[in-house]
Parts: sequence; C-alpha cells; structure tokens
Amino acid sequence: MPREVHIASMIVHARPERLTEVSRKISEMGLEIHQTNPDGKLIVTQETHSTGALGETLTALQLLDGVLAATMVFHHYEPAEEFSEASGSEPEPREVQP
Amino acid sequence: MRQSTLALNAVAILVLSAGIAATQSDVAQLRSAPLAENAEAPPMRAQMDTDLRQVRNYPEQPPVIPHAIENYQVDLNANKCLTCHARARTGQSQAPMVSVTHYTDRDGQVLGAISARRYFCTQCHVPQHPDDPAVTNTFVDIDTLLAEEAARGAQADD
Amino acid sequence: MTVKMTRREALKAKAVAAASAAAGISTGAEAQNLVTDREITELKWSKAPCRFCGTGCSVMVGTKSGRVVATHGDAKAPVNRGLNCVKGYFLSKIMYGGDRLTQPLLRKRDGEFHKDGEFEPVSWDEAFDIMAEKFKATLTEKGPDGVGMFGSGQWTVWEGYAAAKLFKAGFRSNNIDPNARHCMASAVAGFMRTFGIDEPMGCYDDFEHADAFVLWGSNMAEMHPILWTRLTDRRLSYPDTQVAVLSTYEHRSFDLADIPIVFTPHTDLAILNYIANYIIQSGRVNEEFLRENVRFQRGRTDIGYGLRPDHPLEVASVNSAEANESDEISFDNYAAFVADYDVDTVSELSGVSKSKLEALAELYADPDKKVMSLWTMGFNQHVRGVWCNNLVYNLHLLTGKIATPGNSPFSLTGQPSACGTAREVGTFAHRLPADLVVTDPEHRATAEQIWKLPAGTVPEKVGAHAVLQNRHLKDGIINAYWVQVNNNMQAAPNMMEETLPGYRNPENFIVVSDAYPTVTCEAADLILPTAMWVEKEGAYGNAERRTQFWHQLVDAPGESRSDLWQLMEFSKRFTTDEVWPEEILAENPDYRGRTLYEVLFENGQVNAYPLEDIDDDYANDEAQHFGFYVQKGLFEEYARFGRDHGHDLAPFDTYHDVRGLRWPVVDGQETPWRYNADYDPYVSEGRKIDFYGKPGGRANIFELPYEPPAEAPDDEYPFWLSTGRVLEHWHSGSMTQRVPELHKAVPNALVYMHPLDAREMGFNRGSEIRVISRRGAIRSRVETAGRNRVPRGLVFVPWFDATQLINKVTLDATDPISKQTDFKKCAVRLEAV
Repeated sequence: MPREVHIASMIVHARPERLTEVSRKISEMGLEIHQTNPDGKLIVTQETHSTGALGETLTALQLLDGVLAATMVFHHYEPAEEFSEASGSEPEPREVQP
Repeated sequence: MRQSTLALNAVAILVLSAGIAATQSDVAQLRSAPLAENAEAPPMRAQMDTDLRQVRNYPEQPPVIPHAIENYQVDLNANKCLTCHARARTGQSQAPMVSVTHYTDRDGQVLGAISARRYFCTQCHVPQHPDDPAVTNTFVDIDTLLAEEAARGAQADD
Repeated sequence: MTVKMTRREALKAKAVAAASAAAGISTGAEAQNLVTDREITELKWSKAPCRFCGTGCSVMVGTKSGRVVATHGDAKAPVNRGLNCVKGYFLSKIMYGGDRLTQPLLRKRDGEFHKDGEFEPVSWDEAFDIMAEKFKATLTEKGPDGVGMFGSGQWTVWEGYAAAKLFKAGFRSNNIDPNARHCMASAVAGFMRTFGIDEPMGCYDDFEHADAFVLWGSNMAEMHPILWTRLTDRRLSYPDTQVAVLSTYEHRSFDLADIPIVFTPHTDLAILNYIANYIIQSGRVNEEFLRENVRFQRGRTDIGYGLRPDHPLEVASVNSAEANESDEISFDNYAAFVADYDVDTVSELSGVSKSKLEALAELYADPDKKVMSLWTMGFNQHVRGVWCNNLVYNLHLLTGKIATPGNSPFSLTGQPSACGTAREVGTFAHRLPADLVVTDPEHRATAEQIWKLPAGTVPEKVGAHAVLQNRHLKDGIINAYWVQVNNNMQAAPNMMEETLPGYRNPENFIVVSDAYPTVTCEAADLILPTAMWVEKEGAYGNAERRTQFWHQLVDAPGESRSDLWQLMEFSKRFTTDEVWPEEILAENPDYRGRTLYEVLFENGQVNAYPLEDIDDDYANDEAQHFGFYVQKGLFEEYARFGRDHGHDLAPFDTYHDVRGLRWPVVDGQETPWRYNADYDPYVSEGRKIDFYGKPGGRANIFELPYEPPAEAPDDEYPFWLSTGRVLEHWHSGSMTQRVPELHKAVPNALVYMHPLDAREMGFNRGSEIRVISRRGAIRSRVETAGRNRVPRGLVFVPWFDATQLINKVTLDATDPISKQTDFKKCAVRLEAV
C-alpha cells in the first residue's frame, strides 16, 4: 500500500499536427488528459506514490516524439492515511469548472 | 477619508445646504469637504519600500521606484541611484540595470556611458506612497484588450 | 451550483485549474498565452503633442480598438527626441479617470433649474436651452458687459479662435480672457513694451549653444523637465558651461547649479538692475549694438497693485492709471539711474552675497560667454512682472547678447498652447489675433474685414481680465459666464473673498466645460462634459513658437463633446437681431435675421473646405457633424491675420505631416531666430539685427526701479507664502491626480518649511497645521525635508491638491500693466491644528 498520495498537473506542449498521436501515447502512460487546444497544449494530471515517479513521468513526456515541452504546474501530496475518501459523499457525475 | 468613485451617469446624489459658502455636492470627486470648508489633511506616509516591481502599463513606461529614495542625492557631485543601478554595480547590488535606452544621445548615437540627458532619474522615475488612489482609472492595457478581443472572437465562433 | 466532490476530485480540479490558467487556456476558448499574430498585436501609432506643459514634447500615441494603450516619446521630434517626463509617460491614462464626465449636468429643484439645486443629467438640448435663455436675458438687460468667458491656454488653436469670434464678434463683448492671464500676461506685456511683438526671438536650439544658463525664479527641473535634460546635457557634456539658479528657496534645479542664489522675495528687481550697473561700470556695454538697435525709456513708477480701487494701496498709488506709459531718455540718464544699484546696496536688500552677485553679473558682462536667461512664474506672477521681463531684456540688449544662437533671453511658457492659442489667437480682453488690439481702430477694421462682418461689430471697450472677471461676478456685474478648459476655482487668487462668492452669487449663471468633475464644476450651475486631447483633432503652439498638430485618434466617451463643438452649436441659438445693435443692422440689412453660426462659421471661409480633405485614416467628429472641415477652415481664416505680418503660419495640411514648424514660416521655411538677418526674412535690408516690431527697428531698454511687494510679512503674519508646483502634477491636478501612479507619487500638497522654524513653532515633520492669511486658510502637513529647502521665514505650498486649496490664502494683487496675479508673495501665519 503506497505511503503517500501525489497529485500533480502538467502542461504538455505538443506539435499541433501531432496532437492526436501524442494524446494517445499519454493515455497509454496511465495519465489523465483534461483539456487540449488546437495549438497543441494539453493539460494532464497524474496520481502517483512518490516524487520520483512524478519526475520519471515528466522526463518520459518530454522524450515523447512530437512533444515540445512538458512542465509541472501543480503538485500536492500527503500521507495516504489522511487521504480519506470520506470527506465528501459518494462521487457523482459532475462538471469541473476550471 | 476619501469618497469612493460614483458613476455620474446615475441619477443625482447629495445633501445640499443653502447659502453660498457651503455648497456640497458629490461632483468634485477628488475632494470630500464642501468648498468653503477644510477637511483634515491626510497624514504623511513614508514612501513604499517593498522592492516589489510593479507591472508597467505598457512596455515603454518608466518603472516606478519600488523603494524609498528619501535623501538620495542626485546633483553635480553625485548620483546615488547609479551606485546600485549602473551597469558595473549591478553584480554586487542585484538591482536592475539602467535601461539600454539610456545610453543614446539626442541624435540616437550609442554612448559608452549613460547619456547626460538621462542624468536626473527622478524626472521619469518616481517612488510611490501606500495611498489608495483617490479616483479609479479605467485604462486597459494591450494584453487585456487583446485577450478580451480573443474571448469575444471565440464566443462568436461557438 | 454546488458540487459534491471527493477529496481526490477536488485536488485534481484544483490542479487542472492551475495548469489551465498557466497555459492561458480558458474553457473551450481558443485563447493563446502569448499573442504573436502581427495583425492583432499591431498598434496604430500617431503623433501628438503632449497634453501638459509649454515645452511641447511630441509623443507617439498607440491605439487599439478605440482606446489609447501606450505612448512614448517621439524620437523624430526636435523638441524632445524620444524623451518624456513622468507625466508625459502616463498620457495613456489621463483620459480614463473613473469619474469622467459623460453627460451634461444641471442644478435642478422640482424639475427646473435652481441655483441651489442638485445636479441632474440633462440632454445637450436642454443644456443649451437654459444657457441661451440666461445669456440672452443678460445681454438684453445688461448688454455685452454682462456676459463673460474664461478660456484657456489649453484650448486648441481653433477652439480659442472660435471662442474669440463668438464673444468679440458674436456677443460683441471683450469679456473673454484666458487662464494664461495667470501665467504669461507679464511676459506678453514685457515683449510688447520692449520689442513690439510677442514671443521669444530665440528657440530651443539655444540650449545646445549657450555657455551660461541663468534661471530666474524658474524650477525647470520639475516644470520644464525635457528642456532641463537639454540644459543638463549641455552642462555635463561641456563642463566649462555654467549654470546659475536664482529663487526664493532651494529646489531641484539647484542640483545642477554652479552659482546657486536664494534671494529675498521680490528683490529680483534690484539684482537685475545691479547686473546692468555692473555691465556699464565694468565697461562691457556693446556700444555699437546700442547705437544701432536700442532706445531708452523711463517707465512710470508707483503704479499700484491691481487691487480693488478702494484698497489703500491703490488709493495711495500715483500712476496706476498710466502704468504702461514711458518717456524716452538717454543712455546717460539710464546709467546714472542704475548706478544706485551697487553691490553693497543690493547685497543688503536681497540677502545675496557680494561674491555671488558678481559671479552672476560676470556671466552677462563677459563678451565671450553666450548667455541664455530662462524664466517663468517667478518673474511673471509678480506685481512688477512686466518690469522683471523688461529688466532682463535690458541685460541682453546692453551687451548685444540676443537673437543669435546661444544668446537668448527665453521666456518659458507654462501651458501647452498659451502661445499658440491664447496669445497668438488673442483670446484676451484687450486683444485680437496676431498681436492686434481692440483699442486700435485699424486693428478692429482688419478683423472685421477678415471676418466679413460689418464695420463696428468688434467692440472697442477692453473687457474684464481674469481677476476683474471674478470681481465682476462677485459684484453681480457679470451674470452669464462660461468657463472652458481650466479649473479657476482652484487656480484664481483669493478664493474665499472673490471666486467662490462670485460663482455662487444667485444672480449669476455659471457654465463649466470640463472632462472631469473639478472644484470649479462643483461651484457651477451647468456642467458640460468635454472631449480631451486625442479625442478631437487639435493644434497647440509651444514656447519656441512651434505649432504642432494632431489627429483625432479615439472617440470621446458618452455624450462628451469638444469645446469647439460646444461653441459652434451654442452659436446657433442666437440671431444677429437678438444680440447686435440696431445701428449695425440698419446699415447692413443683409445681416438681419441670421444666426451667429451663419455669420461666424458659415461665412464661406470657415466652411470652405470639404470633408474629402480630411485624412482617410482618421476620424473627425466635429467636421462630420457640421458637414465641412471646420478645423481647416478656422485655421486658414485665422492665418490671414498673421501671414505677411511677421506671424506667418504654414498651410494647414503641412502641419499634419511634420513635427511642427516655428513661425514665421515663409516660403516653407521656419524661423529659428527672429530679428536676425541670417534667419528672419522680415529683417530690413542692410541690417544685421532688426527689432522690426518697434519704430526704427529699435528695442527699448527700460529704466525701472525696485518697488516693494503688495503684502510682506509683519508681526501678525510673519511668514512669506510662495506657491507653485511639483513635477508629478500638472496645474490643478485634474488630470494627473486621476492617474494612480502619479497620485501615489505625490498624493497631497505639503507646507515646505525650514526645520528651525518648525521647531520654534512646536511643529514636527508631519504635523497638521493651518496656513492662514487675512483672506482664508487651509489645513496641510509640515514638511521640513524633501525636494524643496526653504529659507527661514518662508513657506512653499504647491496648488495641485483639490483638498488643499491654497488659493484660499493668496492675494489678488496683480501687476497693474499685465493684470497678472502675484502668486509668489503674500503674508501668512501658521498654527497647529
């Protein structure tokens, strides 16, 4: 059982014409894509267990063919025990309003 | 106490006293007391000394000075500003270097040193006091204007 | 809409939001983080003169989507070559103050105009209805003496011209005077007495040629900053150059002074005569120059102080009725007169050391030193201001150091178009365009001819000047009054006894046109929202005779309209039958039943240029409204006064293309140095120097003494009060105080005081005190440090602060010749609050 929970968001800037292909590869890495725009920017989040894992993800993203840059924007982590599912009610379909 | 700005295309405002001297209306926005009276003079405040750079309204605007400059000497004998902001001193001071625009003479020739026409810094650069602006200003900078336009354009596309 | 989320979901949402913001991506929209598309980012850049001081810097104004978004110093402009001062750098914000006036406002009670009513928005129609009603009633009851206008050195050239026509030819009243009466009238009278023509003979190029600069009561470092940079450049690049600065207290210009001089207020008169004496005694008079170019005059003395006629000082004065007269004398008379101003006497009177006086005099006397004298309000706002102007010209005439590059007595101007509009167009109570005067029948005939009006239209009677207008308002002699582009409630002297009761006199109807709600608006009955600066096509003329034009670049907000539009629209409300006397109408029946608009503005000249002449790239709201290129028509008609008469202006269209031209512009050539055969086409054949404004081409050297000020400190009021300005605010601050950065630089006025005086009075730095005179008081705070170091017994207060109206305290004493107020000397006492 992981001792920590890390949640991070990243901006990945891909070549616009390679956007579809890059999106597919990012999904295959187990990352969530939240938004894209026609200029080739993607907003990606990852939930993982350590900073080291996050760093590896960033490196892997940058090495992807068709990716110009990957930058981390937001990083939150806390001990797993405190990360309870009980602070809200049952998850419901909802919209995220950025 | 300063009055907050009231948009004057709203319907009329104020308390009015009869008689010549005590005309009171909210028209003179920079002033709270009736013309014939004198309000308390606001206390003097020290110049802001935060060292936090203030966003310029447009690129060519001379930045305001984010630190106090009281008693700084700029005359025939010395220029205190340059003790930190001259190119050769910036390594030690970590102050922003005087802009390259300050190295040209009147005819656009680049000089080896700061042009004499730029010698008196405070003709263009001013410190600030931590005072609320008496009246708001609706100036919109170019980036905001462009973003608003783009957003309007995007909505039109939807 | 509340959403219930798990902690995981909430954190993720936050993460996404942060990244979206950083990426500049909004939901669904295609916004970009960095906009690089040239088509979108390209600004439209157009030139315009700065809105502020008489230096007349040119700026490039960047507009986008109908708004000004940036400005910078115009690199192509000879005046400033790319520089601005801090105020100029914030020009892009001056039109966007949050309380900008956008609708006419009329005081009403129960739906009708009432002097004590509250301001309510009205339409332009209703505004002009009540204005016309009041003006007509007054004209019927009191005639032209009952109406008045207070205009401005910030009017554009054609606004001033239209106003002058409306009042002098339309209402037939000379009660039109500009706020330039408060700043340049003494300089004008000085020019007229010495040279016979207004405005400097030199130009800004003198800065790059002079060997010595003498500042007489002028704080150029703060008030003419860009000219100061040219002077600084000269001084620091050529270290043999010398700078002398004279004032009644130490200010920022002293930072560059080689010869710093603080003198007892008013003794500049004596110092000037001492220098003349020194030149004569040390044998450095340029005798050849005197023989060819100079005449000597003894001016009237004991001429009073321009106070109300029943004031004891006026009653006591002997020659106030002939203040401007003089008699011709000889050089020997003059030399004997100034011999009394020896160094010991003057040192004692002025408090200046003998060595400094001699060093200063030597700058003038040394034939190898080219000298530039510079002055503004210290000389002009002076009860003997005309004398000061005459006396400084004496020094340049005695030595022949005049009208050549670097040798330049230079009268600096405060407002952007005190020269171009107020003086050159002649919007004064005694003037017509191009230095003509209403008292001269030939001049009136010239105006009537150019204006295509019947003989006798232009009135002979000199109207009320600024201070007199306020007195007439208070006394109920002027009852319908229009104020444009100035803040006279704040600017005029003696507010509590004169200005305020005058505006609030129930017999009077006061109209104020302004862009912002100033204290003058507060005292008005009708407020008209006015367009500013690049919201209209305009022209200004700066201190070196350079006329500069600009196009309309953005639209005025709401229902605000330019002063020009207001004047011309208002003229439609009157017919000749209503405002011209029967004698004129009977003799000229063709003029019967015509509106003033028709006879003044649709006269075949003002409406001669079609809309097609307007540059396609720019809007022009007034022209579109009236149906012809009104600015061009007004300008070309106005230019007739000056062309071939030494005031030549270039064709209208030229000015839009160039960075201004210095008149006289003859055959396309501007004139940098007048009266000099090498540069000035008006110089008579065979002469090197020709002061062609005076008979025989001879300028006047004036014999004039020291006379005391109107009010000096005494036991009851032991301090001198001097008033003035600061760099960051222009005039009354109506524009600069609405720019947050400028307001935060200097938020409030202060009382600059000597630290020992403060200690003796029990004040600390920052103490709140009252500054009190015989006439009124303000509350302010003590400053014993800062940019101004005053001597003991004197305090200095700037007048930009609407919350500290220092003109409640000042005295309405004027120079009796120029009628310009002395804002630099009165007596006050100080009290802790």
